[in-house]
Amino acid sequence: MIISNFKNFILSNNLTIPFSICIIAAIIFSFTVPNFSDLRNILNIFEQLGVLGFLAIGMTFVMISGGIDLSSYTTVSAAAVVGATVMVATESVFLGSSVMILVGLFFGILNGIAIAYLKMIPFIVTLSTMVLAQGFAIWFTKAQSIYGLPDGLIYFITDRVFGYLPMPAILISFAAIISGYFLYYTKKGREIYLTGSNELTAEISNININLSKLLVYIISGVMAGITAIVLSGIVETSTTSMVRDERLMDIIAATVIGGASLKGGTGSIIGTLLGLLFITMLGNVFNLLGVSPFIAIVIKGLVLVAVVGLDVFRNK
Amino acid sequence: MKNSSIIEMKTITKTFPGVIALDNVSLKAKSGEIVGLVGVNGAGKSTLMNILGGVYKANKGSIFIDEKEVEFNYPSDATRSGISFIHQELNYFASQSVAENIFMSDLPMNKNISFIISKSKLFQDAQKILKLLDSNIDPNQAIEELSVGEKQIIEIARALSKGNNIVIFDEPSSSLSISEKNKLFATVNSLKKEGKIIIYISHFLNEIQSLCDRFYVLRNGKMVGEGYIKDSSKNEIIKLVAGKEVILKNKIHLNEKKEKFIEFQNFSYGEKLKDINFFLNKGEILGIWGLMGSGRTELLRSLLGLDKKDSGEIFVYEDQNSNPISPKDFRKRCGFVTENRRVDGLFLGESIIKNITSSNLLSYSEGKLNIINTKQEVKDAEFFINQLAIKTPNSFTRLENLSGGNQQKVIFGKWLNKKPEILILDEPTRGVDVEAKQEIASLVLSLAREGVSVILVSSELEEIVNMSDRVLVLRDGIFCHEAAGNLINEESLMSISLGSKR
Repeated sequence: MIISNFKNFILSNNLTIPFSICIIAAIIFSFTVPNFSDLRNILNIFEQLGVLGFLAIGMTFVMISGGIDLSSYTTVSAAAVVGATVMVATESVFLGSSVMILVGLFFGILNGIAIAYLKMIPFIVTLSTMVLAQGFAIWFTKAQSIYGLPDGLIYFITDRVFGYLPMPAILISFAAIISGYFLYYTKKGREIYLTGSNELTAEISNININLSKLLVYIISGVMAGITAIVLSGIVETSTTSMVRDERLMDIIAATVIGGASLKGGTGSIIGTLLGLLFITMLGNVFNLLGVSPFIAIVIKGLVLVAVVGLDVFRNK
Repeated sequence: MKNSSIIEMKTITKTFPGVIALDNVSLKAKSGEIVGLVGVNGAGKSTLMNILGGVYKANKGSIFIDEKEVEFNYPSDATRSGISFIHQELNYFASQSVAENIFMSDLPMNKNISFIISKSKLFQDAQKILKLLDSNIDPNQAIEELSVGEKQIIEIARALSKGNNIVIFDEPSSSLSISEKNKLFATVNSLKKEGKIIIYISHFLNEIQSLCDRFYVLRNGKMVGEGYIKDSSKNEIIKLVAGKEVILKNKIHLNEKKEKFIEFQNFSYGEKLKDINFFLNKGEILGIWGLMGSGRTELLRSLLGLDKKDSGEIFVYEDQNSNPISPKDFRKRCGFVTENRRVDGLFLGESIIKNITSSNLLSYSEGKLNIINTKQEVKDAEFFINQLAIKTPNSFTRLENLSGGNQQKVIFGKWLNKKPEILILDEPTRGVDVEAKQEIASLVLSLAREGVSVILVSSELEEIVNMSDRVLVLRDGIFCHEAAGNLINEESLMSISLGSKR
């Protein structure tokens, strides 16, 4: 019963593709790549997944509503440097973390208002805020990294629960459960899907499409704030380039592999995380095999093109 | 390009799943004459012309040009045989100049450098063709600056530029002003003098009468009449179009109470709507009949607050008081079946369940978190699948996998699920097969009997006549006629909308 339910769930949510890709990749890698299946490496993969996972969840919300958010990864830097400054000055992890989330929220609201209420194009709006957030972070720190973060933050984030489980992986599980539940089971979640599926129909059906759109960019922004907390804890500093540019590509690829369409209306949290697992495994394998990072970027770029092709194919 | 002098379609039959769109239809047109093709919406005019244009393939029958059989598998085959369409909806490249639009498919190239466009030749050629059409449009002008009528001239110029000999006009005049119409007719007549073969489709009978030499009448996919214009009176043609047996109204529903429910006042928007006032009774079916471009859809959308308007107020009669109500609150009490379901009626990628509950999500939300009760959703969707006889494997089927008629029923289910007090229907049976059409009609009648007030907009006369308690005729953004009860009949409505009386 439980197995058949699970099977139905996989099939009905377009999870077949990400699920099988992950399993096939995991099997191939564990036989061909030395050290891949070591417990330490696997935990390492999950820790990395935990870091990018928040941004990918945010992107999933945005893409389901029919938009795209290019700005969330630079918002992480903006949030991190402001929050870290507060943290260092006040020695308060809570206050600093709250500031990080508030900065994320600010950029989310900015995107959301421009897109939902001023009817601007998501790609252009978030491209602008991407540059804006990056520029702001550099101006704010004069391009200096911020050191001396409180030990409390670092201990909390790098903690291994029960000696094994990386904290980011646990946090991401919570975030995934909450956001998945929100998307699948609440009225607002449903409205986000319907807005992305057909905005005009949604409007006639008395769904507040503007609020749906505002909300997804706010979620994406808050997720960037959370990423700033987690990443600052892991690298023990806050810098103006917390997330590298090519990670944006990873996030979009993960979301599309997970079943989201660039046209909106589809996608799921589990799918996205499976997609991200695949992308993370790929990066990890390149690392283990000592592939040049530049070639790794080229290969990932090809994966993204293939994934967008998959999106077109799926919509046929 | 060969100068063909006769085109003939013989015993064309075309079926779509569930409908016979054309049944053994034949049509002939010669060079130097204008042939009119008349019929109400859904009579099969477009299907016939789409076969001639290579868009559809007939199940039976054949096409001859100069007594040689031709086969059109693609639209390009028809173009190569010299056939051009002038559509009601114009296709053009908005940012390009007039000249470029005329020659878009065959731009003249520089003699020496083969990949460079020769602008000078382009404009000369365009000028030549426009002169031929007796038009003084500047070929350098951007096409978006032109009026609809002028754009149509460009479309004709495009057909001429290809040297096409067979020109088909598909409802070309419905969005034109009177002076533009006269210009169009002059152009059509000059094409005739040049010896082109012209087929002119319209449901404006006076146009057919003043322009054409011969006519064909299509009704329900059958060619029910043909003849020479000079031998036939307008009434004869109207009879052919509407059907000889004037359908007696055997209405199951007749609203007797006449209890005023909603009043609409002073709805205006630019040239589209000119100070429209009307009211809606409880449990009444109010038909709004008008041709395409008369302002039907604009009126509905502005009533619902979905489009801009210059003025307009809505009042609700409740407990013997009339209270003003905002369009948004009005919308909350309405169901709205839109004209084009694929554009704004459906969530094509979503399941039947999610479509049906989308109008009323709040009633499925429980608790502070507004958790959706999915079990109730499935139950309700299944209820409507049964009640409306929606043909589907199950309730999880996505809408894109249903037929047009069943999609339309889902939309009805969606609004019924909301239990609306007012149901606004814009062409509710467009693109729906005959069986589903009847089911939808009887559904609407039974809803009205239960007290739902219905505004029915349709371009199908039969539908309006058979279902409405009262009919308002919309023409050029104003109501020009009102008929109620037994005074509603097809002939009088047809002649009013055609403009022969007021």
